[in-house]
Amino acid sequence: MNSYDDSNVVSGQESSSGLISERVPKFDMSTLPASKSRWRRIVATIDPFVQLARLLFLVLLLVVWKVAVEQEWVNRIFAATPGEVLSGIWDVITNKLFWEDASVTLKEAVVGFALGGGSGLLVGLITGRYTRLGKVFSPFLTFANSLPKIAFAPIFLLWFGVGETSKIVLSIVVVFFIVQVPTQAAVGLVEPDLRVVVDSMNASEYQKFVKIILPGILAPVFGAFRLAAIFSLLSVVFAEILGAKRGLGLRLITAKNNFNIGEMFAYTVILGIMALCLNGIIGVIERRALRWQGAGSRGAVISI
Amino acid sequence: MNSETDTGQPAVELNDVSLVFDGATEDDRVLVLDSVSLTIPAGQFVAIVGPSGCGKTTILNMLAGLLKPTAGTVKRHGKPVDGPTNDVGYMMARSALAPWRTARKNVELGMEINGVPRRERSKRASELLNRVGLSQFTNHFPSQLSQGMRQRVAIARTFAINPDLWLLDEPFAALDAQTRIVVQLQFLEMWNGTGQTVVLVTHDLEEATLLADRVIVIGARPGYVKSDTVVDFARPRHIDELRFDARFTEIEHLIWRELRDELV
Repeated sequence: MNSYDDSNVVSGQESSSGLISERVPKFDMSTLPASKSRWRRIVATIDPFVQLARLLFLVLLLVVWKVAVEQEWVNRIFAATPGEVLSGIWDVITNKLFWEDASVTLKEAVVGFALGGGSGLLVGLITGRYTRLGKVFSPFLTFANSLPKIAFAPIFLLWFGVGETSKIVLSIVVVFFIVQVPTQAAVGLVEPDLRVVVDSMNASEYQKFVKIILPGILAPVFGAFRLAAIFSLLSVVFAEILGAKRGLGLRLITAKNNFNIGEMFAYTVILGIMALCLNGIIGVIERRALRWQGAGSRGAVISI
Repeated sequence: MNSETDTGQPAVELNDVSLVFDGATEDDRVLVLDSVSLTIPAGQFVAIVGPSGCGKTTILNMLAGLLKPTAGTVKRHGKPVDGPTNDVGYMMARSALAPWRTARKNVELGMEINGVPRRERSKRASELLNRVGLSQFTNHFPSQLSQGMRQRVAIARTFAINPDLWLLDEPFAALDAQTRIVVQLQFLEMWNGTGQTVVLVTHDLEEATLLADRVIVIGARPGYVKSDTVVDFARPRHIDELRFDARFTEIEHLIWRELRDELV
């Protein structure tokens, strides 16, 4: 250890070079083999057992399904085998009218999601940020959220007609609460220490909102968005089943009324795939927006 | 010290400050601070020690303008404190970095709030991260950094706003023993010669004695100034060696005897 003299006191001008070792390592990292390509790393994470087990389980499900239909566990007229559903899907998607109906349903779902999600986010931000205002509206919001919103579908049909508006309105009502409730809660949970820091920095309300609150609530809000997208599709299809001019819900109930059960199930499978796609699109945006979240878990934590 | 704030007045002046936390009824009211008077000249490093709940952090919050005293006056450079100002640097035990911002962007936060142009922000952030030894980690997110590194980013963030007054609420408490010494050293290195005033709240008596020019012991609730001890080691201090100095131990012991009676 050095003696305690002032000659090697670190002055404020110098960097902390005295604390960081300048020694050249003995081990030469360039002798290591080249690291695996991105593609090979992805392949390496595939577990053959899991893939095989999944495949076997799928086969088992299809076999049970087929047996159930053929053994007439339910009335054969109201049932369809996996093969019938598959050919139903083919019949449906090769029909030009299907694509028109699909685009109507998709449009209703997306518009309902955008308006319901947007207003839910806005109201959640306000009631979360201004807690007194939140208290004023909290009993009304809680009660409205407790209502079985889907039960409003018939009355919306009367109010807004059999066209697209009634579907969009139902979707808005459903989606609004899915987004508003977690947004309001998330605002209150944004990093309290960080808020003290920006308060002490004398940040304006607008700066706090844009720099701290908005990025701070993104993770829970995106979770709500993904759920909301699925429920938006669900709401518009339900409303279409009750009564519509166009849309996949209308196609679905028509197929059922014609005892074309294979085609009916084909629509449900297609709607399931649509919901997965909506969920996936939001997931992609989420991963981009929340890049920082995964940063620590990709094995890149550095410690000195 | 900034020339505009150099009024010849003390950097910090608490005059008979008392603080009551209100309760549901009159019986629930708690007297947190009792007639605290404290004058800190500009450029001084003052440590405040005391048992948990004695109102140490409360003093910082009043200096930051986040809390108003029930009675008495809080002044900075002769002017009463009536709200947060952008020349105060507040640091806590946890680094309180924004997890969605890279180290560089975190350092820029205070400068953004103060409206510093982008170019200058970026330049100053690089410079400061370099000084805390993190030049290789400017684009890392906090989740990719160790506790000690995060706290160094927080130090850089606070230096970036060039505070006239530092309010440190146990900023080294969450670090392991060795990292703590490194980060303390780094802080002292950067602070030395800036003329900035520092108020450090800590539970660690050794830390208080090593870093500060003056150690104030706050007595148990309601908090009051129990003792005020000058620690007159020359600066810059070699704190990694100073802790083994005999006179250092003596001073620490002296303050310990004041503090001991307050711990129950």
